[in-house]
Amino acid sequence: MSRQRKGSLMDKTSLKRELGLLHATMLGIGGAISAGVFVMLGHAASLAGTAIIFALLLCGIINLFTMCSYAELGTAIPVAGGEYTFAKVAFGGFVAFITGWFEWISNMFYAALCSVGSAYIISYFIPVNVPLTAVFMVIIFTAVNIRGVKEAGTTEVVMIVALLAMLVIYILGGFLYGPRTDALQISMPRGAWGVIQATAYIFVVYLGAEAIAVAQAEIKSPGKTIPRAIMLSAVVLIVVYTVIAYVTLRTISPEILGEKAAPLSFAAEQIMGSLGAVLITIAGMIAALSSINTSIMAQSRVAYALSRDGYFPKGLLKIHERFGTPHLAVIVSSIFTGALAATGVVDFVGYATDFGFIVGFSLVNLSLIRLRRKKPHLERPFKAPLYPFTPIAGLLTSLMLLAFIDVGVLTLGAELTILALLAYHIRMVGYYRIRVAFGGISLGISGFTLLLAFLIQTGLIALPSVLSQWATILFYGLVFASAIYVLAGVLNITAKA
Amino acid sequence: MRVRKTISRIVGVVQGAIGALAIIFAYVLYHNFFNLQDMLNVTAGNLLLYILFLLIFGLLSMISGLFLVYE
Repeated sequence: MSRQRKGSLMDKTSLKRELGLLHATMLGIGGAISAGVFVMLGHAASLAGTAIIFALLLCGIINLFTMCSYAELGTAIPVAGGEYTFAKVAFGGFVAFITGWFEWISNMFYAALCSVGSAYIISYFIPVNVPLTAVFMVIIFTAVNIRGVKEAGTTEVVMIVALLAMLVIYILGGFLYGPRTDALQISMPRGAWGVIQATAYIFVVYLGAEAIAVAQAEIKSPGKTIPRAIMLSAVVLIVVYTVIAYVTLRTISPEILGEKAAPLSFAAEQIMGSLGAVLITIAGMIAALSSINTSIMAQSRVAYALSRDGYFPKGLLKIHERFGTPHLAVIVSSIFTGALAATGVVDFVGYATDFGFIVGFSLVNLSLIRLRRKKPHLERPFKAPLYPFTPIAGLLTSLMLLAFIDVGVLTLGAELTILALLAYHIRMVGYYRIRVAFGGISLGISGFTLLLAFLIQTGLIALPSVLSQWATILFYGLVFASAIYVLAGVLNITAKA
Repeated sequence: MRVRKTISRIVGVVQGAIGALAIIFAYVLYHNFFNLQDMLNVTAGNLLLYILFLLIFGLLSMISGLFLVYE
């Protein structure tokens, strides 16, 4: 819910230390509770059955490993900027850039996920077009962020407490009014494989608690408060999520839950009637809307920081004359977010969010290991316990989750990594060399296209029956494309250095 | 110089458009609009490979096209 501190701190380095243990813990809890748990529990339950409770527990433990790394780095590097700053100090160069890149992208995915999630939550009561509503949400919060958002402070804590209270009412309602049948039977329709798949899918519900470490500049006695707040929020989240899953699955079977777009609202209606559904819908909307706002803010600030360091175009550094916000960075990031939200697909965007953050988590663990070796005498008010076990466990478990992410998302991730490599090399290797490389690629594609045209013309490639009547047009089309790629290749190669 | 710039722009736009069409085609194929997978005899096993190929081709073409347009 409150990733805004992460964003707002990108360009602030001297802030008052006003946040105590309660505030910091709430920051972590609020950072993690977003639309995810309200809309993703159904699909996760269809993957893991009632063993989703174990999947949520496993997520919490995996999250805890990396949170230890966040706690150490957050207190040892008292500079704003989160993961990007950690990687910059530990590695610099490409690793820092790729960390910032994935931080930027994962916040975009996160904002899109929350937009789509909020649209599904609304659709439980009002029949709305989900993709359109999600895009509308992105547009609204883009405008809000261009205008500028003040940090909420106490108001934010009150909202998180209210949200937690609503979830506690749901849990109590489940125990008091839910079916008092036998104890919950543990089922795993897809075996242990399904549980790990569900773990990779629902991991997103724990993301955001790292906001505590990132907000270290505002926390009183950070050496003591940050680790305590991180552990407390992680434990609270594990308890809240597993009990919510227990109460929900006690009432509704995983198969039915898997068919619902807003599973928690449906479960609340079964337990407490329409009042329960309204309560959970309000809770879901508070969590989702706040998360959209803060993740849009965070992504724009990361884009701003990457521009400041010369990786992104300098145009993104432009500050709005009236509102004093990096409006171009907000707009550019929001265009991508809007496009993602327009898919209206929770599962895909959820996996994509997981992918971005898991890569970020891996890099944070690597940064910790690297810094321990590179700067052994660096002052560390808090040290990750059981080093090197914790960061290595955090790294390995994160990578394990990556292996279970949807293949389509992994393909997208590979492409985003290629794009990152390209963007970095344009900056570091130089524009001219990249153009020569693209010229070569264009010439290669041209040769391949011409060969394809020849094979079709001579009948060496058998076309499907539906295409055979278009063979001549296809041939000329390929020859035309080949000519275009030859020209493109020559023009790129002969471009002036 | 002006001629080169004009040619670069035209070629860049066409190349970028071919790239964009390849990506749109990949999307249409993936979602099996117009029953395209059956029409083109695309098996489920090969589908992801085709999609990957089309996306990489589209992406490279669009980037190369953009280089030429903004020369």
